[in-house]
Amino acid sequence: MGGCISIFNRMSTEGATSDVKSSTSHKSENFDSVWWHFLIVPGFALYGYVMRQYFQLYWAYIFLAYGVIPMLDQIFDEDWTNPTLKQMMKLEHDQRYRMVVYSMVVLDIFIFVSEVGSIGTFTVFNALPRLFVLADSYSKGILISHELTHKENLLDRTVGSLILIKNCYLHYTIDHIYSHHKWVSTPEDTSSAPRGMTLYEFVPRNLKGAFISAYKISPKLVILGSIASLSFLLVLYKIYGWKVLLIHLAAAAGSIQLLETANYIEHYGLRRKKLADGTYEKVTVRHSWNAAHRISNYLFLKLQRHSDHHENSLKPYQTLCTYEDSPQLPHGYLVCLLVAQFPKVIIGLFRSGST
Amino acid sequence: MIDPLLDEYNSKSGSKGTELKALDIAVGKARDFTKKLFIISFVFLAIDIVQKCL
Repeated sequence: MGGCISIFNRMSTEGATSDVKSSTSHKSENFDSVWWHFLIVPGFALYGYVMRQYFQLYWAYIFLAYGVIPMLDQIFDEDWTNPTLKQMMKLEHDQRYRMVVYSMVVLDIFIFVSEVGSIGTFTVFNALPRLFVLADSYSKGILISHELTHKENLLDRTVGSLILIKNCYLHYTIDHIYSHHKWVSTPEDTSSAPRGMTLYEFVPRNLKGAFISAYKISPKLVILGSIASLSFLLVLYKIYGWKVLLIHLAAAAGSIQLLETANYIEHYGLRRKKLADGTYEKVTVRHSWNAAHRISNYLFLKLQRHSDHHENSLKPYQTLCTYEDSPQLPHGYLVCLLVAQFPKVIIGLFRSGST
Repeated sequence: MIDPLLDEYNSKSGSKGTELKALDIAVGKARDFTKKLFIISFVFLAIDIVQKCL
């Protein structure tokens, strides 16, 4: 609980203010609503599923997720409100927020089974959007897994880890919890992109680095995880055949690409100073990129409040805080994930305007 | 992608991430990108709907 204590200390030094950005200092009463999370996290996933399965509108989810949500992020005010200490204690024990996460676990399994069962209806025309949506859906599984594996509760951690068997990426949990959070924003952490590295240099480096790091931490768990993933693939092949296996592998690869892109943008170029005794300075709010965009923050379970997540890794998503002294991205993670896929275009896009 | 922001942020030790000059410029560019994204995804959805209706 050291993390929580540190955030409480931070808040008390700031006069337990409910808001960091002074211009919006009296908005704490509507700082959050669990219903927004229900609507945007499981609600949107369900909407996408219904549109695909019952109306064969394969672009409907992509339009909502990548067209409408970024626009809504611009229409709604940025969310700079933080819970007070009292609100934080209440939120931490509000089981409805946990239900949002577990409803996504159920939906993740349901959507997987039903999508895999209907893969026979893939055609040349609908393959691209369907594969993209499937990869996006698998990546939501990773997001949920990330939230659960940060918990102290054994059930949460187990469920969170099991989700990753589907993505063939179980070692991520070990590397993320025991290495990434310890070495974030240092050269020791392959999940923290150094300045100047493109996404396509970063991804292969981290795929290898994270696996080796996880293996060094717990070889038994990594081997068990690999056996579990291989067994899962074998079962999938036996039941549904090679076509489903290939599409599943492509979707899993797509979800890993999205996850690694998120890793890339979360710490790009930010470095902790090395101290005289060879250790690194403490992780602060200055070592993660954040985005205060409201709707994408709901969609990503407040992951965009990334500085606080690294300062207090045990905090549940609904209690994460935002700080204006942390580095801010120009848009929510959703747009940045897409933008990062095209490094040359994007470097030009941002640089041309700033020089 | 975010080098100009990073440069400005690092060059001022006590700087606030929300008050960078480079951020305003980057936000403008990101907004343009978002509009294009909306239009492109809408066009594909429209094609989807037309295909479904035919």
